This record gives sequence, C-alpha cells and structure tokens, in this order.
Amino acid sequence: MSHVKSPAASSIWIKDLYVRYSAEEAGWILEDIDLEIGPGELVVLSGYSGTGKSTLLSTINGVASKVFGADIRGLVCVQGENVESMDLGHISRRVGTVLQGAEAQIFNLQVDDEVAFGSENLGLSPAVIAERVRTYCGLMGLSPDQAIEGLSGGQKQRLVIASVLAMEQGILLLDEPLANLDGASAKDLLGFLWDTTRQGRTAILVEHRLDMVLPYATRLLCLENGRIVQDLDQAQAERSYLSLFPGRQNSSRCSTSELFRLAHVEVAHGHAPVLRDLSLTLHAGEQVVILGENGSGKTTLLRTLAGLVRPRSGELWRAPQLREQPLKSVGYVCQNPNYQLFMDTVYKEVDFQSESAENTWAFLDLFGIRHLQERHPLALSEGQKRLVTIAAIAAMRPQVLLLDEPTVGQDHQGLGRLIETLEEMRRRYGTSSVVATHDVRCADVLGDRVLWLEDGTLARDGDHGLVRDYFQRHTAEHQRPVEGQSRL
Amino acid sequence: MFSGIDRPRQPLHPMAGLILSFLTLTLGLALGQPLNLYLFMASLALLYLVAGYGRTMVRVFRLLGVIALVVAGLAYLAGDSVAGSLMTLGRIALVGLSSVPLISVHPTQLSRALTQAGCPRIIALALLITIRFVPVLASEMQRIREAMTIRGVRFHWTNLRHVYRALLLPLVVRLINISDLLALSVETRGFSLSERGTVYKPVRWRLKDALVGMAFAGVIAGALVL
Repeated sequence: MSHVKSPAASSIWIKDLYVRYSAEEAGWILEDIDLEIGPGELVVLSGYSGTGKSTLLSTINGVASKVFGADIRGLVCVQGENVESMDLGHISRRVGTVLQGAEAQIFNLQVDDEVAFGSENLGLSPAVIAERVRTYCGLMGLSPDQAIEGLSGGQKQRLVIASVLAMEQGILLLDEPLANLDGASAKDLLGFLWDTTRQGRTAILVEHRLDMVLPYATRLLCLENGRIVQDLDQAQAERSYLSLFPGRQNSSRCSTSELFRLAHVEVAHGHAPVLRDLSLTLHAGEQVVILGENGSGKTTLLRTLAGLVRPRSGELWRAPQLREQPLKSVGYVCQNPNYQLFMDTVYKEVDFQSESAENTWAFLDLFGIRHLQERHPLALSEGQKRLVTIAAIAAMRPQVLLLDEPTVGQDHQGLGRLIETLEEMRRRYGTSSVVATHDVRCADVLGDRVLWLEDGTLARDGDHGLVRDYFQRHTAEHQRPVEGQSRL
Repeated sequence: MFSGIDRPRQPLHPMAGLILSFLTLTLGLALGQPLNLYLFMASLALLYLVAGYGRTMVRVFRLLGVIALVVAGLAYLAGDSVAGSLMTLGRIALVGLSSVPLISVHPTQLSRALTQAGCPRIIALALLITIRFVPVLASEMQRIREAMTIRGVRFHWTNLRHVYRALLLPLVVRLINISDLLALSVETRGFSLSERGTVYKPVRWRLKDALVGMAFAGVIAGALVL
C-alpha cells in the first residue's frame, strides 16, 4: 500500500470531505473522508448499495459539484490540483471515468469513432488516435469497423470501457465496469488495469464482484453510511471478504413434470441467427443457470422462454399450465429494471398484479423492501430498483421466474437476500428459476443445473459441477498476473 | 443501418454533396419551362450516375416516382394543363433528384467534414446524437411495451391512462436518463466547447470532386443559355 503524505505526491488526495446533494438535506452522503491514493495503486471501493461509492467517484471527477451542484465541504485534489479550481474538461484530461449504463453513453455509429472521440477531444494527431483505437479495440475484443447497432449489451460495455481507456489519463475511475462482461473480457480488463497501474497510473473500481477483483487489487476501501470504515491491503482484503460468500444449499428437488421443451429451435435477429439448433427440456422446480460469453444468446433464450420472441424454426412446447395464463405463469425480469417500473410508489408497483394486499406485504417483506414502500421506484438506487422489479414480478406468483443478470448492482447483502428469496419461493410456491448470469457467486449458489451456451448453441448441459468448469476457464482472472507481462 | 462507413467510399466529399443538393434544388426551381427543367434534370441525372449515385437514384425514384405520377395525375384531373401537370411532375422529380447527393452523405463523414471546415464541434456532435436518437427511441418504446406486457399491462392506444402511465411516463424517464448520462459521458471524455479537437479520420477532397464540380458548372451554364 502506498503511503503518500502530500497532495502533490498523491494521485488523489482528499481531506475532511463532506458531500450532500442539497444544502437542505439534514444528513451527508459522504462524511469525514480522509484519503490518499498514490500512483501505482489499484483500489477497490466496496460497500452496500447506497453507501456513497458512486458519489465518491463523482466527487473525485468533479461531476458532483459541477454537474449535480452538490454541497461539498473539504478538499479534493487530483494530481496535486484542487478539483474545484478546474473545469470538467480539464479534470477529464487527468481522470478517466467509466460510468454505469453503457448503452446510453454511445452516440457514434461505428466502433472506432466512439473509441476515438475522447482522443479527438484531447487534440491528438490522427496517427496517434488510430494507434490507440487499434490497441484498445484489440484489448476489449472489438472490431474497429463494426457497426454499433449490432452490438450486444456486453459488447457495448466493452466499447464504453475502450473509449475511456483510449484517453490514457493518469487516473481511472470505473463504476461497476464488470457488469455484463463475460469472464474473458473481465480478465482482460483487470489484467490491463494491473499492468497499467504497475506503470504508475492509478485506478479505483467500484465493484460488487469482489471474488474477481480482489486478486488484482492493491487495496480495498469499505464504505458504510458514507464513511470509510475499513482500509485493507490485498492480503487482508482477501482474508476478510472471500469468506463472506453465501454458501450453496444442496437442493435438487425438481420434479419430472416438464415446463418447456425446445427441439431444434432457431431464433434470429433479422437474418442473423442467435440461437441455433437448441434442444433442451426444463422441469418444474429446477433452478437453472445459463452461462456463456457476451453475445452467446443467453438473453435471447430467456426472451424465447418468456414468449417475447418466436423461434424461426424448430419446436417450442410449453406445459398446459403455462399456456393458460402465459404472462402470469412465466415471470421475466429483464436486464434493465428501469423499463419495468411505472407506478408511483414501491407498494403500488409490487401490488399491481398481486392477488391480495396480504400477498403484497408478504413479498415486500420477503425481499426486504417494506421500508421503501412509499418511495418512488425510479428514485431508488439501481440495486434497489432491481429488487423491486423482481418482487413485483414474483408477487404475480409465476411458476417460472426468468432473471437476466439479476446481480448487477447487488451488493453481498442484496445478493444473499435474492438467493434466499428465490430458495424461499421454491420452497413455498414451487417456483422454478432460470437465471442468465456472468456472476460466479450467483451461478454457484443458484445453479442446480447449468446450461452452457456458445455461439447460440448448447455447448454443455449438466449439474452444478459445470459452474466450476466454466469459471475455471478463466482461472487466471483469480490470480495476480505476473509482473511485467503486458496484456496489450 | 450504417455498417461499413469507410468502405465503400462516399461518391463525393460530404460538403460537395451538400452544395450539389442545394444548387440542384434552387436552380431547378428557378426554371420556368418544362423542357428546360427536364433537360436540366436529365443532364444532372447523367452526371450523378457517372459520379456514383446510380443506386441511390434508383432507390429514390422507386419511392418518389409513384407519388410524383399520382400528384401530377390529380393536378391534371383537377383541371391543370398538360404543361402544368408536367411541371408538377418535374418539380417533384427535382426534389428527389436534389436529395440524392444529400442522403448519400454518411452522417459520420458529414460530422468530420463540418469539424474540419471549422464548424463548432457541438453542431457536429448534435448531428450525430440526433441521428442515433431515432433508433434509440424506437428501441426504447419497443422495450417498454415488452416490459409492460410482461408486467401484465394490456396495452391499448385508446386507453389514455395506459398510454400515459405505462408508455409515456417510463419513456420520458428513460429519455431523460439517457440524455443526462450521454451529456455526462461526453463531458467526462474531455469534450469542451472552447477547444476544437482533432479529427480521427479526416475527409479529403479528391480530383473527382473537382471534375464533378466543373461538369455541374457546365450544366448550369447550359441551363442559363437555354
């Protein structure tokens, strides 16, 4: 761990920081923060949803004060200069920020133009920009000539990361950069961050998937109620946190009755096939996890089961009980919770298709969101929104729950609760679940059965052991890379 | 929609395309006789064909041809003379012909050309964002409708409460979120109104642009003499 002692020698130097978004608010979102981060540090920022992690990042890059008009007390310096004395354009020449929500940040039509945008703003020559475009597209597995319109969610996330990395600032702030990234891409990104911080850059990651990032981190900061409560080095962090993973409950209680049967199913987007020759059967009571790289067809498979897309060929059979009330019996929770929220309170949202008020309260309690009942759903944090969406769908008492990346934005507490809730739903109501995820924590606990997709085909179909096989393909991501081995 | 931006090459420099479109329309509208107008358009069609706009012309006239014939036919039936109807037909065709160089310009190329020409980058950026906004809007509406279907909302356009609560409200919230995030992303990637920046792939003028320009000037001179 670096022990820099002055603003000039630090990459980031924070003294007596208090932040709130309005001067009228009684409490502070961040309080009493003293922090020094030096060159060469790769810091992971951890904490439950709503504890101020993103606010800390937006204070460092100046967005909190200059865009949101936050009330900020104390001193924040980047590379020795007070953030308050610089405009955003100048701060962004020192600090690169990967924001959450990749899709909404893209405005170009082709991959190379998007990656080049930041470097164009820096006034670099076309030759240098071309070199950076080539380098960072290669790093993130993108083709520079690719049209953006056809990219999957994970590929768009890679694109946004590449476009920030290409600016090559001294400090990188990454807010949940691994969301929607498959194992190989996550490994490449973390390896790059490791290499680049060895060369003197500084990186701060907000990330809930600690199992993936801790092997690369030099330091772990834990936030709780707006304060830094722990500041650990890598060894301490791994000892403290990897033991917190929710344990797997041995549960293989599926029945023999079939819910879905797919025979040689092919699904296409336009003319391009996404799922090819897919044959499988899903049974009542099963907890199924779908694993696969970005663009392998996980979301399309869920959408096919939900009845949102029709196979171009092959046969999709649904059990009679699913055909009677297809929308109520198959609950689908999509990747972005914002689409599925439309009532003005959390209570009304969960109550919308609930059979009774009693049932609504039961699900508010089950998901631990009773205290949010009067809040507007769209004003919640991303992790809370996701819980509300799942609760609202679950309150319909579907026989099958289809969840697309349910752990994005979920802290350990949220993930633990989600897993317990799904288990409780299966116990109480016999609800089956099919979960598409890149998260080893989620797959490990929820995967009684694992479907492994590759390029739209079912590469493997097996029991929980497949989770280990799948994630061990990327074992290097769990090991600190060898010093001096460049990822580029 | 715009795959393969740099391959194949654009027929002309984006600025040449803009100027050509503008001059074709304004000069064509100034021609008062059907014969002059048709000769002018025939010459330009030949020039556009040579310049590499053949496919775009076919696409435009496949769409516009029917409309032009219907409108001219209606004008004739409404009592217009043959010459008047021909003029109506010619002017609709002129709109189509003048649009050919303009719609052939790729937005990315135009944005680059505008920046190189010293146009404020905010305009070039706004152009790109506006073009990208159309498919984003369509996709957002589709996703919201799907999400509502999943939530059990039986959507009817005639039910204003449904339209407001289940479509308009989430759509507005999403669009505000998207625009906020987009602005933030642009600012945190070093965009500044006060600095010009560089262009990653500069668009260059070619000999073909000059040759087409000279031929176009010849057509204009011919039209003026006639």
